[in-house]
Amino acid sequence: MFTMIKKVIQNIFFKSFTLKYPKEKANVSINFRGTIHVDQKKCIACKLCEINCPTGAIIVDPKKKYSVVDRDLCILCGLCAEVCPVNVIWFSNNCENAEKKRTEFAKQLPGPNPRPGKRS
Amino acid sequence: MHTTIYPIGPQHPSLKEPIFIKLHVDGSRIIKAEFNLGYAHRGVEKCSEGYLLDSALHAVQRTCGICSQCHSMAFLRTVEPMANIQPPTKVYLQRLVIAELERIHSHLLWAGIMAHEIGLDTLFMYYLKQREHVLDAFDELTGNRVHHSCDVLGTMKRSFGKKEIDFLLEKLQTIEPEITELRRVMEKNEVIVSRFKKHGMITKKLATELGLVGPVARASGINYDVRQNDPYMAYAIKELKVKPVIRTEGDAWARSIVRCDEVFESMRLIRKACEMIDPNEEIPKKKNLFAKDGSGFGRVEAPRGENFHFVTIKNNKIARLKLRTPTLANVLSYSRILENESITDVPVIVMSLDPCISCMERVAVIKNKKEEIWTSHELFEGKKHD
Amino acid sequence: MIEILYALLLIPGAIIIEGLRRKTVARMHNRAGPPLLQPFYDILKLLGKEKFIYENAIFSLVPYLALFCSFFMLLIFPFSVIGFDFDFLVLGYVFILQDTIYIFGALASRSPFGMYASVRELLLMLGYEITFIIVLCLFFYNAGVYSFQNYDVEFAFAKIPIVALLAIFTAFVILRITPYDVMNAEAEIGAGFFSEYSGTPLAILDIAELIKNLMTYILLGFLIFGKTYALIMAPIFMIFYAIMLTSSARYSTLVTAKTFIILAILAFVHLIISGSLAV
Repeated sequence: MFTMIKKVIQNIFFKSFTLKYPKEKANVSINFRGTIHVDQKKCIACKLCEINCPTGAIIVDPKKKYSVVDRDLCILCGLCAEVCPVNVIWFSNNCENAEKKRTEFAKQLPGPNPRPGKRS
Repeated sequence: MHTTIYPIGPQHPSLKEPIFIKLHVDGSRIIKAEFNLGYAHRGVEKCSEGYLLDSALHAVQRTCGICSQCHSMAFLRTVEPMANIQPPTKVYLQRLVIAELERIHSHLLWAGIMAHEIGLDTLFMYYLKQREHVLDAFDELTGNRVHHSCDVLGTMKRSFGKKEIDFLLEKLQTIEPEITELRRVMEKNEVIVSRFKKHGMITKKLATELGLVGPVARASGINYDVRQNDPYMAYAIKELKVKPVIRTEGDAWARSIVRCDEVFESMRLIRKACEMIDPNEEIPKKKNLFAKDGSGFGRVEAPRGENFHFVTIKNNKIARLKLRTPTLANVLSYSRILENESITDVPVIVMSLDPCISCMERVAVIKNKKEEIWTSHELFEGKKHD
Repeated sequence: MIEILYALLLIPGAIIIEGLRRKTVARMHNRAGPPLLQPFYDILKLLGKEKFIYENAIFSLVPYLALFCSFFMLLIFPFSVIGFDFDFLVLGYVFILQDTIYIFGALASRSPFGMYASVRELLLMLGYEITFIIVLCLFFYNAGVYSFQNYDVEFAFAKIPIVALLAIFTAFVILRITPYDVMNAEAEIGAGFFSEYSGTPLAILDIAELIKNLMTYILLGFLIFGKTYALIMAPIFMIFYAIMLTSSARYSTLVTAKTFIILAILAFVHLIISGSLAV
């Protein structure tokens, strides 16, 4: 009991460690993988990202040379960026990804959401 | 003898994950303890089947939220020799840094929860505050705070430069005095000592019989650490030899102190590894690898004990994956150590083994000798759950 | 008239002092903490929840009885608002009655968690309720009066320090503060007495608890520091118990029961020595 009292009383006068979130934003590292971005203009539709993605979050349309990312399924592992031959996939450190409805994440997706492990 | 049944779980405030512990009690003394698993099966093994090696690596890392790097290391230790690739030393050192940081983060979280179980929320908050600094270091080094995903086969996604290493060392400098003080509280505070000492006793004989691993075994006087007994990756380097922390008391208090001391051992290893990393050295780019068909296994020391992976590869894809997490070895001792304890001490004893339930859950389908295969889709949808 | 106004002001006071307590505890944890009126929002939300209750007369009656006890405390202490000059022992028994009511509610719910909370409470009652009543007796014997209206001793702790200390110790259990709050140990028995309550009944129980906590702070200030300082001392006692709450872990049931039985014996010996059995 007495080993803690001193520290507890000291802490009343210290600045709080937590932040009041909507007003104060946390200091996120520039290296942080927060949101996935695809530069659609330069995409060559090689499908490497689709093959490698562990959750099937990326679907590439080879005719339109267009890829759709379901942010609900994306686990932000960064493997797609690693395998991409033309480096059009990149991650920004924007970590405010919440949406009001679950469907908002996959709005652009045609058809039903692919389940994890669908490809096996 | 008539006994009352006191249920703990599947949902209970002292459990962070679902497990059902059925206590047969006489008054508040426990006569018999049974436990039941299977509330959080996620099918990681089945999910990984048919994956390419790199995708499987990223799926396997998601097995555990706290020791994801250890699953990654075990998988890499298995697959890299099969793919016939030898990463450079810098990659090994970087993996060691992340794995040891993860051990710090896991033990700090555990210590906090242990304090919460006996009503000392303040210590919980203080430990989580220190853990936050470690998470910031992960954020800077790997890009993700919890599931780091920093490995790929044969190399890593990022090379540590001077900036990253300085940031890491600065964070370690910040947390070290605080953790030293918190450890002193854990060791000296009379209420904590009265709750932890002589509760959940595991003798050396019992630990050997049940095959316990990790800090639980080390607190019972068993000198076993995979990093020391079967060195892998950077742990095989002479300077980074691990000195395991061993205590002989075998109670919940000894387990706490073993974990608190392991944090300092990990810090020493990280500092040593940071000295050895050359910030200007470049690591190789990711290559497409082709592994031979066959099977292999590998084991690493996760924060909770020995983590074992068995992998079978066919056509450069995963054909079978078997994980055996340390909790599976440790959790079996519940029915033995809960006997003759009071209900008051159940949360302390349950948490002192540091269970990670949902990493552990596996399913075996045995049905009339007929071979039956569930696809992960069926497993998720529960189609065959009749 | 002033007394009625005073009694009505104590209800928001109970909510604000709980908000302050949460804020203080958060500062000690190094957190920002919830807003000051968070307990009010909590109760408001609980009142709007779906009613989902186990059908049992005692079980559904208990929250209202507990609230009644709390209001009764509010009305007789420290001013007699309802114009009835009670003996001091009535207040002591109202405190005990509320805990007994909780035991009935928890046992009626047939939840194992509630049952174990009741068993623990009964075990502790042997120690702390006796101590509480003896402490009240000793304070009033010291003052030489038998009702709250006539109690005008100031700084009683200087004269009877052991009794003041016993009062502070007993309040640990009444307020459910660690290290002696085994009946509220969420890690093993969930929410204890309140495990099966939800929605409106839980909100009513919350209000009852808040008022009881405030009354305990005021009672301690009243007895130890005197009538004029009672209200000023309430937040100070709140901060004192917040420090205790944050700086200590919970003792096991056995240790707690032993401690309070020893305290009860100590109080009893004090009672005999000081000759105040005449009360």
